[in-house]
Amino acid sequence: MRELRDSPDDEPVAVPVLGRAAVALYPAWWRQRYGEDQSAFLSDLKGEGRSVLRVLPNLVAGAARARLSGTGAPPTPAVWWSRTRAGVTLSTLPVMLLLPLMVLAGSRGVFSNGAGHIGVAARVAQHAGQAIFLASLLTLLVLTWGWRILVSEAEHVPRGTARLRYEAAMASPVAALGTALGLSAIASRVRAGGVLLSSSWAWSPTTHRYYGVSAVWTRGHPLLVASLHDAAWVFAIGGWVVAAALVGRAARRAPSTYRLVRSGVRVARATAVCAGALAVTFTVYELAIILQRWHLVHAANAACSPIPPPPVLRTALGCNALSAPAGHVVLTSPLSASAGLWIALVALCAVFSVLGTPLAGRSMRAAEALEAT
Amino acid sequence: MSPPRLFPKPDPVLLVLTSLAGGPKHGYALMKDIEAFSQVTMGPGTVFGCLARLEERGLVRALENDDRRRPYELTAAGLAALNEQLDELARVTSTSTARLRGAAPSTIPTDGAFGA
Repeated sequence: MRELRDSPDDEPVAVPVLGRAAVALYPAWWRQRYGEDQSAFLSDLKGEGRSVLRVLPNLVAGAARARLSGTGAPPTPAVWWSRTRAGVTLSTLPVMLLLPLMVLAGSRGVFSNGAGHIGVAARVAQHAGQAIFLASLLTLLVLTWGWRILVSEAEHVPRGTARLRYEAAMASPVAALGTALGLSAIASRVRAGGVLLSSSWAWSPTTHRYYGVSAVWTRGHPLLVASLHDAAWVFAIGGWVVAAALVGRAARRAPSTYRLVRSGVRVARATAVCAGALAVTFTVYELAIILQRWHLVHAANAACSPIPPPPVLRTALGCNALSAPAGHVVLTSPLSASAGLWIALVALCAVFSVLGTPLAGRSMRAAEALEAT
Repeated sequence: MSPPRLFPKPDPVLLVLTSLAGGPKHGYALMKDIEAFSQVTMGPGTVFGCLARLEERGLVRALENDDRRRPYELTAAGLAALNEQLDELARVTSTSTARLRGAAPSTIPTDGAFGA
């Protein structure tokens, strides 16, 4: 006997937008199979006067489970190759997006009042900062390896607009970093006292160094200096984020060559290791900075660092005017004021990376097995 | 704050199989039935996650759409799996019940048995 009339009303009730959005989080193959059933479930729930909002976390968790486990996915190689690529993207893209923040944290500032005493917490932060720098460098190398593999796949993209788009996406990180470095270089020639128009250098045979013998400056351009620095920041961080998104999108659409996917899984594994190391060192670093701040009050630093501050804001808020008790060296972090947020972000990236790697590996093995049969 | 549960909630897969043992049901009917007999409220993510797992293993199958809801029913393999699980549970339950009945008089402490 069928029990199909347990629902309050046979007339379908419209599913709220949030409910539809939660169902949209499921993979396409899932929505095709269970999407309508789930919508009918939510409609019945609402029809009975129950809250759809209360089941949203359950739906989101279900979507994450479906994406990670692939339970119920059709046994076709294409679906499992696609899952492999999604795993590689999950493992690498968030880390790539967050890399500028790691570099910022690694390039910490040191404020000294001249005495040279350094506390234990500051020393820990100093070492962790160096570890972050090394881990970031290693991560960057791993991502560059992945990027090179993607670049070499351009030949498999059909000629014409598609290939141009692909190549443009692959060139975008270089363009973003190049522009940022170029602007920084220009800014270094612009001082508050004016623009350095020309300079000449001479070699000293006694000191074995070059030294400036003459320089021609224009009138002062303090606003230009600040604007150039800000533009360099915007390109370094904003441009990098856009470039990461473009590369991720192009990689998802790249032709599914076997070599590309296999290499991608290797890159994902290496990225997961780097991301784990970064998360650990980043946590140690920020905690050490916080511990240090408990001993020394740095309200100015805290106020200046909710976000990586552009130079204009930093100067306006007096971030460079920290005061410390006599005989102390103070380590400051550009990210320290909202350390909790940054630690959470880094940890989240590491979690994505660590989750994405087995997903990619398992899916690749499943796809290979399906192809073999 | 209430203390944490000593025993975990019943396995959702077992609840879904048990519910379907009473006849084919669609997702919402499943949730209501399970709520009625076990006081466990399952969200759509859990219900359809279980159905997907069971369908993948051939333990349940979807029937023709009834209006806009698709009912699911147990397959023979699903029935066998449920029976097997219930046998295991029955063994634990009967052993536990027998031991409780046999041991009750001597092990249940009376007033003053502790700290006297």
